[in-house]
Amino acid sequence: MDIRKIKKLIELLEESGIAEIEIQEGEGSVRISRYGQVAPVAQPAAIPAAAPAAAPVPAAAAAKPVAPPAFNGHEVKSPMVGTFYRSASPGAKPFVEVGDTIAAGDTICIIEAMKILNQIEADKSGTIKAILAEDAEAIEFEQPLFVIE
Amino acid sequence: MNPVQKELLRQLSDGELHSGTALGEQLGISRAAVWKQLQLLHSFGVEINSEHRQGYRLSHPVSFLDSGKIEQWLVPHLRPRLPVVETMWGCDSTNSELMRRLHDGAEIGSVLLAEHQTAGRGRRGKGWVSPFGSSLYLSLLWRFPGGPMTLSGLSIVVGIAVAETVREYGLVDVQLKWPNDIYLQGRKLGGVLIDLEGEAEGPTSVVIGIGLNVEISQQSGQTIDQPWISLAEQMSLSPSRNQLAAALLNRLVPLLDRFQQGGMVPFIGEWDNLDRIRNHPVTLQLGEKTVHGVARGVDHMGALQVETNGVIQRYFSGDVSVRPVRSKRETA
Repeated sequence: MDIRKIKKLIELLEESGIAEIEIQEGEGSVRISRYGQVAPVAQPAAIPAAAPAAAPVPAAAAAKPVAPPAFNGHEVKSPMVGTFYRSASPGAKPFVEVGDTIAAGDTICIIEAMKILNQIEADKSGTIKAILAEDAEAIEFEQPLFVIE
Repeated sequence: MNPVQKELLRQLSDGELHSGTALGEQLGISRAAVWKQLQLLHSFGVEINSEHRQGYRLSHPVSFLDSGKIEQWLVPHLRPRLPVVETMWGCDSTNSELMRRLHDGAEIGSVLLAEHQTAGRGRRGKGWVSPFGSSLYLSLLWRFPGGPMTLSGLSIVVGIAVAETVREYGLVDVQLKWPNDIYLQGRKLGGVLIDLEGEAEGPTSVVIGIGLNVEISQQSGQTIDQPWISLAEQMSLSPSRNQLAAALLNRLVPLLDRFQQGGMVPFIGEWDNLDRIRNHPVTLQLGEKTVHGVARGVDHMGALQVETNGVIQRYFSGDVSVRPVRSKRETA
Protein backbone atom coordinates (compact mmCIF):
# COMPACT_ATOMS: atom_id res chain seq x y z
CA MET A 1 0.00 0.00 0.00
CA ASP A 2 1.20 3.50 -0.82
CA ILE A 3 2.81 5.17 2.20
CA ARG A 4 1.02 8.42 1.35
CA LYS A 5 -2.26 6.61 1.55
CA ILE A 6 -1.37 5.27 4.99
CA LYS A 7 -0.40 8.77 6.12
CA LYS A 8 -3.75 10.00 4.87
CA LEU A 9 -5.50 7.28 6.84
CA ILE A 10 -3.69 8.25 10.01
CA GLU A 11 -4.84 11.84 9.53
CA LEU A 12 -8.35 10.62 8.93
CA LEU A 13 -8.27 8.61 12.13
CA GLU A 14 -6.98 11.58 14.12
CA GLU A 15 -9.73 13.83 12.89
CA SER A 16 -12.55 11.38 13.28
CA GLY A 17 -12.28 10.14 16.84
CA ILE A 18 -12.53 6.57 15.55
CA ALA A 19 -10.59 4.15 17.72
CA GLU A 20 -9.26 1.86 15.05
CA ILE A 21 -9.39 1.41 11.30
CA GLU A 22 -8.59 -1.53 9.05
CA ILE A 23 -8.27 -1.37 5.29
CA GLN A 24 -8.01 -4.24 2.87
CA GLU A 25 -6.76 -3.61 -0.63
CA GLY A 26 -6.08 -6.56 -2.88
CA GLU A 27 -3.91 -8.88 -0.84
CA GLY A 28 -2.58 -6.22 1.47
CA SER A 29 -4.18 -5.00 4.64
CA VAL A 30 -3.32 -2.35 7.14
CA ARG A 31 -4.70 -1.68 10.56
CA ILE A 32 -4.19 1.53 12.47
CA SER A 33 -5.16 1.73 16.09
CA ARG A 34 -5.18 4.57 18.57
CA TYR A 35 -5.27 2.30 21.58
CA GLY A 36 -2.59 -0.21 20.64
CA GLN A 37 -0.81 0.51 23.92
CA VAL A 38 -3.73 -0.10 26.19
CA ALA A 39 -5.65 -2.93 24.58
CA PRO A 40 -6.55 -5.30 27.39
CA VAL A 41 -6.15 -9.02 27.91
CA ALA A 42 -6.50 -9.97 24.28
CA GLN A 43 -3.51 -8.37 22.61
CA PRO A 44 -3.11 -10.55 19.52
CA ALA A 45 -5.32 -9.39 16.69
CA ALA A 46 -8.37 -11.58 16.64
CA ILE A 47 -9.37 -10.66 13.15
CA PRO A 48 -7.92 -13.03 10.59
CA ALA A 49 -6.73 -10.61 7.97
CA ALA A 50 -6.14 -11.94 4.49
CA ALA A 51 -2.39 -12.48 4.01
CA PRO A 52 -1.05 -9.31 5.56
CA ALA A 53 1.39 -8.00 2.99
CA ALA A 54 1.83 -4.66 4.70
CA ALA A 55 3.00 -4.58 8.28
CA PRO A 56 0.47 -3.05 10.65
CA VAL A 57 1.24 0.51 11.48
CA PRO A 58 1.68 0.96 15.23
CA ALA A 59 -0.43 3.39 17.18
CA ALA A 60 0.50 6.30 15.03
CA ALA A 61 -2.22 8.56 16.24
CA ALA A 62 -0.76 8.46 19.70
CA ALA A 63 2.14 10.47 18.35
CA LYS A 64 0.02 13.57 18.38
CA PRO A 65 0.18 14.90 21.92
CA VAL A 66 -2.94 16.22 23.54
CA ALA A 67 -2.73 20.00 23.71
CA PRO A 68 -1.57 20.98 27.18
CA PRO A 69 -4.51 22.30 29.14
CA ALA A 70 -4.62 25.97 29.87
CA PHE A 71 -5.58 25.16 33.45
CA ASN A 72 -3.29 24.12 36.22
CA GLY A 73 -5.85 21.94 37.94
CA HIS A 74 -6.33 18.25 38.39
CA GLU A 75 -7.37 16.40 35.24
CA VAL A 76 -10.03 13.70 35.32
CA LYS A 77 -9.29 11.24 32.52
CA SER A 78 -11.50 8.64 30.93
CA PRO A 79 -10.87 5.11 32.22
CA MET A 80 -12.24 3.56 29.03
CA VAL A 81 -13.10 4.01 25.37
CA GLY A 82 -16.73 4.99 24.90
CA THR A 83 -19.18 7.82 24.58
CA PHE A 84 -19.14 10.77 26.97
CA TYR A 85 -22.44 11.85 28.49
CA ARG A 86 -22.87 14.86 30.70
CA SER A 87 -26.31 13.84 32.00
CA ALA A 88 -28.09 10.66 33.08
CA SER A 89 -30.46 10.76 30.11
CA PRO A 90 -31.01 12.92 27.04
CA GLY A 91 -32.45 16.26 28.04
CA ALA A 92 -31.74 15.78 31.74
CA LYS A 93 -29.76 18.33 33.71
CA PRO A 94 -25.98 17.86 33.32
CA PHE A 95 -24.26 16.40 36.37
CA VAL A 96 -21.94 19.39 36.55
CA GLU A 97 -21.30 22.75 34.90
CA VAL A 98 -18.16 24.85 34.79
CA GLY A 99 -17.91 26.75 38.06
CA ASP A 100 -19.73 24.11 40.13
CA THR A 101 -18.23 23.16 43.46
CA ILE A 102 -17.99 19.43 43.83
CA ALA A 103 -16.95 16.93 46.46
CA ALA A 104 -14.84 13.85 45.81
CA GLY A 105 -17.24 11.02 44.99
CA ASP A 106 -19.81 13.17 43.17
CA THR A 107 -20.85 11.79 39.79
CA ILE A 108 -19.59 14.13 37.07
CA CYS A 109 -20.34 12.23 33.86
CA ILE A 110 -21.12 8.83 32.34
CA ILE A 111 -18.97 6.97 29.84
CA GLU A 112 -20.92 4.35 27.94
CA ALA A 113 -19.63 1.57 25.73
CA MET A 114 -21.68 -1.42 24.64
CA LYS A 115 -24.34 -0.81 27.29
CA ILE A 116 -21.72 -0.71 30.00
CA LEU A 117 -22.37 2.47 31.93
CA ASN A 118 -19.49 3.89 33.88
CA GLN A 119 -20.49 6.65 36.25
CA ILE A 120 -17.37 8.71 36.64
CA GLU A 121 -16.92 10.22 40.07
CA ALA A 122 -14.72 13.15 40.94
CA ASP A 123 -11.56 11.83 42.57
CA LYS A 124 -10.90 15.22 44.13
CA SER A 125 -12.99 17.97 45.70
CA GLY A 126 -12.88 21.42 44.17
CA THR A 127 -14.33 23.55 41.43
CA ILE A 128 -14.95 22.44 37.85
CA LYS A 129 -12.64 24.68 35.84
CA ALA A 130 -13.18 23.16 32.43
CA ILE A 131 -15.15 20.48 30.65
CA LEU A 132 -12.96 19.17 27.85
CA ALA A 133 -15.38 16.98 25.90
CA GLU A 134 -18.73 17.51 24.23
CA ASP A 135 -21.86 15.62 25.24
CA ALA A 136 -22.25 12.40 23.21
CA GLU A 137 -18.66 12.65 21.93
CA ALA A 138 -16.58 9.50 21.31
CA ILE A 139 -13.85 9.33 23.94
CA GLU A 140 -10.50 7.58 23.99
CA PHE A 141 -8.84 5.82 26.91
CA GLU A 142 -7.16 8.37 29.19
CA GLN A 143 -8.58 11.33 27.30
CA PRO A 144 -8.90 14.30 29.70
CA LEU A 145 -12.54 15.08 30.47
CA PHE A 146 -12.53 17.66 33.26
CA VAL A 147 -10.22 20.00 35.05
CA ILE A 148 -10.86 20.34 38.78
CA GLU A 149 -9.12 23.03 40.79
CA MET B 1 -45.49 -2.69 49.15
CA ASN B 2 -47.31 -3.01 52.48
CA PRO B 3 -48.21 -6.29 54.27
CA VAL B 4 -51.88 -6.07 53.20
CA GLN B 5 -50.88 -5.78 49.55
CA LYS B 6 -48.49 -8.72 49.84
CA GLU B 7 -51.20 -10.85 51.43
CA LEU B 8 -53.68 -9.86 48.72
CA LEU B 9 -51.18 -10.94 46.09
CA ARG B 10 -50.65 -14.26 47.83
CA GLN B 11 -54.40 -14.84 47.81
CA LEU B 12 -54.68 -13.91 44.13
CA SER B 13 -51.54 -15.70 42.95
CA ASP B 14 -53.48 -18.82 41.89
CA GLY B 15 -55.04 -16.85 39.03
CA GLU B 16 -58.56 -17.78 40.19
CA LEU B 17 -61.48 -15.45 40.78
CA HIS B 18 -61.70 -14.06 44.33
CA SER B 19 -64.61 -11.92 45.53
CA GLY B 20 -63.93 -8.64 47.25
CA THR B 21 -65.94 -9.83 50.26
CA ALA B 22 -63.94 -13.04 50.62
CA LEU B 23 -60.64 -11.19 50.26
CA GLY B 24 -61.77 -8.64 52.84
CA GLU B 25 -62.75 -11.36 55.28
CA GLN B 26 -59.47 -13.18 54.87
CA LEU B 27 -57.53 -10.02 55.55
CA GLY B 28 -59.87 -8.51 58.11
CA ILE B 29 -60.49 -5.34 56.08
CA SER B 30 -63.51 -3.85 54.30
CA ARG B 31 -64.37 -4.45 50.67
CA ALA B 32 -63.68 -0.80 49.98
CA ALA B 33 -60.23 -1.18 51.51
CA VAL B 34 -59.62 -4.24 49.34
CA TRP B 35 -60.57 -2.22 46.28
CA LYS B 36 -58.27 0.63 47.28
CA GLN B 37 -55.28 -1.67 47.84
CA LEU B 38 -55.91 -3.42 44.54
CA GLN B 39 -55.91 -0.06 42.79
CA LEU B 40 -52.53 0.65 44.32
CA LEU B 41 -51.23 -2.73 43.20
CA HIS B 42 -52.52 -2.00 39.73
CA SER B 43 -50.45 1.17 39.71
CA PHE B 44 -47.35 -0.98 40.43
CA GLY B 45 -48.00 -2.88 37.22
CA VAL B 46 -49.87 -5.81 38.75
CA GLU B 47 -52.50 -6.85 36.24
CA ILE B 48 -55.68 -7.38 38.19
CA ASN B 49 -58.88 -7.78 36.26
CA SER B 50 -62.20 -7.13 37.97
CA GLU B 51 -65.00 -9.21 36.60
CA HIS B 52 -68.60 -7.99 36.62
CA ARG B 53 -68.54 -7.16 40.30
CA GLN B 54 -67.98 -10.82 41.06
CA GLY B 55 -64.44 -10.33 42.09
CA TYR B 56 -60.87 -10.03 41.01
CA ARG B 57 -58.32 -12.23 39.36
CA LEU B 58 -54.73 -11.88 38.17
CA SER B 59 -54.16 -11.95 34.42
CA HIS B 60 -52.20 -15.16 34.93
CA PRO B 61 -51.20 -17.30 37.92
CA VAL B 62 -47.98 -16.07 39.50
CA SER B 63 -45.42 -18.22 41.18
CA PHE B 64 -43.49 -15.74 43.29
CA LEU B 65 -39.76 -15.37 43.27
CA ASP B 66 -38.22 -17.32 46.10
CA SER B 67 -34.53 -17.05 46.97
CA GLY B 68 -34.55 -20.47 48.69
CA LYS B 69 -35.81 -22.13 45.51
CA ILE B 70 -33.28 -20.28 43.38
CA GLU B 71 -30.47 -21.42 45.66
CA GLN B 72 -31.70 -25.01 45.44
CA TRP B 73 -31.31 -24.93 41.67
CA LEU B 74 -27.80 -23.49 41.74
CA VAL B 75 -24.92 -25.81 40.92
CA PRO B 76 -23.53 -26.67 44.39
CA HIS B 77 -19.99 -25.43 43.78
CA LEU B 78 -21.29 -22.01 42.70
CA ARG B 79 -23.31 -21.44 45.86
CA PRO B 80 -20.40 -20.13 47.94
CA ARG B 81 -19.65 -17.66 45.15
CA LEU B 82 -23.20 -16.30 45.25
CA PRO B 83 -23.48 -15.73 48.99
CA VAL B 84 -26.60 -13.57 48.89
CA VAL B 85 -29.66 -14.23 46.75
CA GLU B 86 -32.43 -11.81 47.61
CA THR B 87 -35.84 -11.29 46.07
CA MET B 88 -37.86 -8.12 46.50
CA TRP B 89 -41.47 -7.30 45.74
CA GLY B 90 -40.45 -4.18 43.97
CA CYS B 91 -37.78 -1.52 43.66
CA ASP B 92 -36.84 1.27 41.28
CA SER B 93 -34.34 -0.87 39.38
CA THR B 94 -32.45 -3.92 40.61
CA ASN B 95 -29.26 -2.46 39.12
CA SER B 96 -29.72 0.88 40.87
CA GLU B 97 -30.56 -0.85 44.15
CA LEU B 98 -27.52 -3.13 43.93
CA MET B 99 -25.23 -0.18 43.10
CA ARG B 100 -26.47 1.54 46.27
CA ARG B 101 -25.83 -1.64 48.22
CA LEU B 102 -22.32 -1.82 46.75
CA HIS B 103 -21.68 1.54 48.41
CA ASP B 104 -23.05 0.12 51.65
CA GLY B 105 -20.62 -2.78 51.49
CA ALA B 106 -22.66 -5.50 49.77
CA GLU B 107 -20.84 -8.78 49.26
CA ILE B 108 -19.43 -9.63 45.85
CA GLY B 109 -21.65 -12.29 44.31
CA SER B 110 -24.84 -10.72 45.67
CA VAL B 111 -27.86 -11.43 43.49
CA LEU B 112 -30.99 -9.30 43.56
CA LEU B 113 -34.31 -9.98 41.84
CA ALA B 114 -37.58 -8.07 41.93
CA GLU B 115 -41.18 -8.89 41.05
CA HIS B 116 -41.47 -5.49 39.42
CA GLN B 117 -39.47 -2.32 38.85
CA THR B 118 -40.80 1.20 39.00
CA ALA B 119 -37.89 2.65 37.04
CA GLY B 120 -36.40 -0.22 35.05
CA ARG B 121 -33.57 1.12 32.93
CA GLY B 122 -32.46 0.61 29.37
CA ARG B 123 -29.71 2.48 27.59
CA ARG B 124 -29.51 6.29 27.79
CA GLY B 125 -32.64 7.10 29.74
CA LYS B 126 -34.80 4.55 27.96
CA GLY B 127 -37.07 2.68 30.31
CA TRP B 128 -37.38 -1.07 30.69
CA VAL B 129 -41.03 -2.06 30.92
CA SER B 130 -41.21 -4.09 34.13
CA PRO B 131 -44.69 -5.42 34.92
CA PHE B 132 -45.21 -7.37 38.12
CA GLY B 133 -44.50 -11.10 38.24
CA SER B 134 -44.06 -11.38 34.48
CA SER B 135 -40.35 -11.28 33.88
CA LEU B 136 -36.95 -11.76 35.30
CA TYR B 137 -35.26 -8.59 36.56
CA LEU B 138 -32.00 -9.92 37.89
CA SER B 139 -28.82 -8.14 38.93
CA LEU B 140 -25.52 -9.63 39.98
CA LEU B 141 -22.71 -7.80 41.76
CA TRP B 142 -19.29 -8.97 40.58
CA ARG B 143 -15.71 -7.77 40.72
CA PHE B 144 -12.86 -7.97 38.22
CA PRO B 145 -9.21 -7.28 39.06
CA GLY B 146 -8.60 -5.14 35.95
CA GLY B 147 -9.77 -1.62 35.11
CA PRO B 148 -12.82 -0.73 32.99
CA MET B 149 -10.72 -0.90 29.83
CA THR B 150 -10.26 -4.65 30.31
CA LEU B 151 -14.02 -5.21 30.49
CA SER B 152 -15.22 -3.97 27.13
CA GLY B 153 -16.13 -7.48 25.95
CA LEU B 154 -18.15 -8.19 29.08
CA SER B 155 -21.36 -7.01 27.41
CA ILE B 156 -20.94 -9.61 24.71
CA VAL B 157 -20.15 -12.40 27.17
CA VAL B 158 -23.20 -11.73 29.35
CA GLY B 159 -25.41 -11.72 26.24
CA ILE B 160 -23.96 -15.10 25.26
CA ALA B 161 -24.72 -16.51 28.72
CA VAL B 162 -28.36 -15.39 28.45
CA ALA B 163 -28.72 -16.76 24.93
CA GLU B 164 -27.23 -20.12 25.93
CA THR B 165 -29.66 -20.32 28.85
CA VAL B 166 -32.60 -19.66 26.55
CA ARG B 167 -31.29 -22.33 24.22
CA GLU B 168 -31.16 -24.75 27.15
CA TYR B 169 -34.95 -24.39 27.26
CA GLY B 170 -35.17 -25.74 23.73
CA LEU B 171 -35.51 -22.34 22.03
CA VAL B 172 -32.68 -22.80 19.57
CA ASP B 173 -33.35 -19.84 17.30
CA VAL B 174 -32.30 -17.30 19.91
CA GLN B 175 -30.03 -14.55 18.56
CA LEU B 176 -28.12 -11.54 19.83
CA LYS B 177 -28.08 -8.05 18.41
CA TRP B 178 -24.93 -6.13 19.18
CA PRO B 179 -24.01 -5.56 21.87
CA ASN B 180 -26.39 -7.79 23.80
CA ASP B 181 -30.09 -7.53 22.97
CA ILE B 182 -31.67 -10.97 23.07
CA TYR B 183 -33.98 -11.86 20.19
CA LEU B 184 -36.26 -14.78 19.53
CA GLN B 185 -37.99 -15.13 16.18
CA GLY B 186 -36.92 -11.62 15.30
CA ARG B 187 -38.56 -10.09 18.35
CA LYS B 188 -36.95 -8.77 21.51
CA LEU B 189 -36.89 -11.20 24.41
CA GLY B 190 -34.48 -9.50 26.76
CA GLY B 191 -31.63 -7.13 27.36
CA VAL B 192 -28.55 -6.55 29.44
CA LEU B 193 -27.33 -3.39 31.10
CA ILE B 194 -24.11 -3.18 33.07
CA ASP B 195 -23.18 -0.50 35.60
CA LEU B 196 -19.62 -0.27 36.71
CA GLU B 197 -17.43 1.62 39.02
CA GLY B 198 -13.71 1.58 39.56
CA GLU B 199 -10.37 3.20 38.98
CA ALA B 200 -8.64 2.99 35.61
CA GLU B 201 -6.12 0.49 37.00
CA GLY B 202 -8.75 -1.66 38.72
CA PRO B 203 -10.28 -3.45 40.47
CA THR B 204 -13.69 -2.81 38.95
CA SER B 205 -17.02 -3.57 40.56
CA VAL B 206 -19.80 -4.30 38.13
CA VAL B 207 -23.53 -4.74 38.47
CA ILE B 208 -24.78 -6.93 35.64
CA GLY B 209 -28.48 -6.44 35.00
CA ILE B 210 -30.52 -8.89 32.97
CA GLY B 211 -34.11 -8.37 31.91
CA LEU B 212 -35.86 -11.33 30.32
CA ASN B 213 -39.53 -11.48 29.29
CA VAL B 214 -41.03 -14.59 30.81
CA GLU B 215 -44.78 -14.16 30.66
CA ILE B 216 -45.86 -10.70 29.61
CA SER B 217 -49.50 -10.13 28.77
CA GLN B 218 -50.57 -8.24 25.65
CA GLN B 219 -51.89 -5.54 27.95
CA SER B 220 -48.56 -4.97 29.72
CA GLY B 221 -46.66 -5.35 26.47
CA GLN B 222 -48.49 -2.44 24.87
CA THR B 223 -46.02 -0.01 26.37
CA ILE B 224 -42.97 -1.77 24.87
CA ASP B 225 -41.82 0.37 21.95
CA GLN B 226 -40.72 -2.45 19.64
CA PRO B 227 -41.79 -5.96 18.61
CA TRP B 228 -41.39 -8.20 21.66
CA ILE B 229 -41.82 -11.80 22.65
CA SER B 230 -41.84 -13.70 25.94
CA LEU B 231 -40.69 -17.22 26.77
CA ALA B 232 -44.20 -18.43 27.70
CA GLU B 233 -45.40 -17.79 24.13
CA GLN B 234 -42.93 -20.36 22.87
CA MET B 235 -43.26 -22.99 25.56
CA SER B 236 -46.07 -25.36 26.43
CA LEU B 237 -45.49 -24.79 30.14
CA SER B 238 -44.56 -21.41 31.57
CA PRO B 239 -41.02 -21.70 32.87
CA SER B 240 -40.47 -21.25 36.59
CA ARG B 241 -38.75 -17.93 37.11
CA ASN B 242 -36.85 -19.34 40.08
CA GLN B 243 -35.44 -22.15 37.99
CA LEU B 244 -34.69 -19.79 35.13
CA ALA B 245 -32.82 -17.40 37.45
CA ALA B 246 -30.68 -20.27 38.72
CA ALA B 247 -30.06 -21.55 35.17
CA LEU B 248 -28.89 -18.08 34.15
CA LEU B 249 -26.51 -17.81 37.10
CA ASN B 250 -25.21 -21.34 36.51
CA ARG B 251 -24.30 -20.30 32.95
CA LEU B 252 -23.10 -16.83 33.69
CA VAL B 253 -20.58 -17.39 36.49
CA PRO B 254 -18.36 -19.87 34.58
CA LEU B 255 -18.39 -17.55 31.56
CA LEU B 256 -17.35 -14.61 33.75
CA ASP B 257 -14.43 -16.74 34.96
CA ARG B 258 -13.46 -17.60 31.40
CA PHE B 259 -13.70 -13.95 30.41
CA GLN B 260 -11.52 -12.89 33.33
CA GLN B 261 -8.86 -15.40 32.26
CA GLY B 262 -8.88 -15.07 28.51
CA GLY B 263 -10.77 -11.92 27.63
CA MET B 264 -13.22 -11.67 24.80
CA VAL B 265 -11.32 -13.63 22.13
CA PRO B 266 -12.41 -17.17 23.18
CA PHE B 267 -16.02 -16.05 22.74
CA ILE B 268 -15.82 -14.76 19.19
CA GLY B 269 -16.84 -18.08 17.62
CA GLU B 270 -19.87 -18.33 19.88
CA TRP B 271 -20.77 -14.72 19.13
CA ASP B 272 -20.62 -15.37 15.38
CA ASN B 273 -23.13 -18.21 15.80
CA LEU B 274 -25.55 -15.93 17.64
CA ASP B 275 -24.94 -12.69 15.73
CA ARG B 276 -28.24 -11.46 14.34
CA ILE B 277 -26.88 -8.69 12.13
CA ARG B 278 -23.69 -10.19 10.70
CA ASN B 279 -23.36 -9.39 6.99
CA HIS B 280 -26.59 -7.41 7.05
CA PRO B 281 -26.79 -3.79 5.96
CA VAL B 282 -27.09 -1.76 9.16
CA THR B 283 -27.54 1.76 10.39
CA LEU B 284 -25.68 2.82 13.49
CA GLN B 285 -26.96 5.86 15.35
CA LEU B 286 -24.26 7.62 17.37
CA GLY B 287 -25.87 10.60 19.01
CA GLU B 288 -26.68 12.80 16.03
CA LYS B 289 -24.32 10.97 13.71
CA THR B 290 -25.57 8.16 11.48
CA VAL B 291 -23.36 5.48 9.95
CA HIS B 292 -24.49 3.14 7.17
CA GLY B 293 -22.63 0.00 6.27
CA VAL B 294 -22.54 -3.75 6.51
CA ALA B 295 -22.10 -5.41 9.91
CA ARG B 296 -18.95 -7.56 10.05
CA GLY B 297 -19.04 -9.11 13.50
CA VAL B 298 -17.07 -7.96 16.51
CA ASP B 299 -13.37 -7.41 17.12
CA HIS B 300 -11.21 -8.66 20.00
CA MET B 301 -12.69 -6.03 22.32
CA GLY B 302 -16.28 -6.70 21.38
CA ALA B 303 -16.56 -3.53 19.30
CA LEU B 304 -18.92 -3.69 16.34
CA GLN B 305 -17.21 -3.78 12.95
CA VAL B 306 -19.02 -1.95 10.19
CA GLU B 307 -17.79 -1.99 6.61
CA THR B 308 -18.41 1.04 4.47
CA ASN B 309 -16.98 1.27 0.97
CA GLY B 310 -14.49 -1.48 1.70
CA VAL B 311 -13.29 0.14 4.94
CA ILE B 312 -13.99 -1.53 8.27
CA GLN B 313 -14.46 0.73 11.25
CA ARG B 314 -15.01 -0.23 14.86
CA TYR B 315 -17.62 1.22 17.16
CA PHE B 316 -17.93 1.01 20.91
CA SER B 317 -21.40 2.47 21.25
CA GLY B 318 -24.49 3.40 19.34
CA ASP B 319 -27.88 1.99 18.45
CA VAL B 320 -27.71 -0.41 15.57
CA SER B 321 -30.62 -1.38 13.37
CA VAL B 322 -30.91 -3.62 10.35
CA ARG B 323 -31.83 -1.79 7.14
CA PRO B 324 -33.83 -3.27 4.34
CA VAL B 325 -31.60 -3.81 1.30
CA ARG B 326 -32.28 -1.14 -1.33
CA SER B 327 -29.15 -0.93 -3.41
CA LYS B 328 -25.83 -2.71 -3.52
CA ARG B 329 -23.90 0.48 -2.91
CA GLU B 330 -23.40 1.42 0.71
CA THR B 331 -22.96 5.06 1.46
CA ALA B 332 -21.08 6.60 4.33
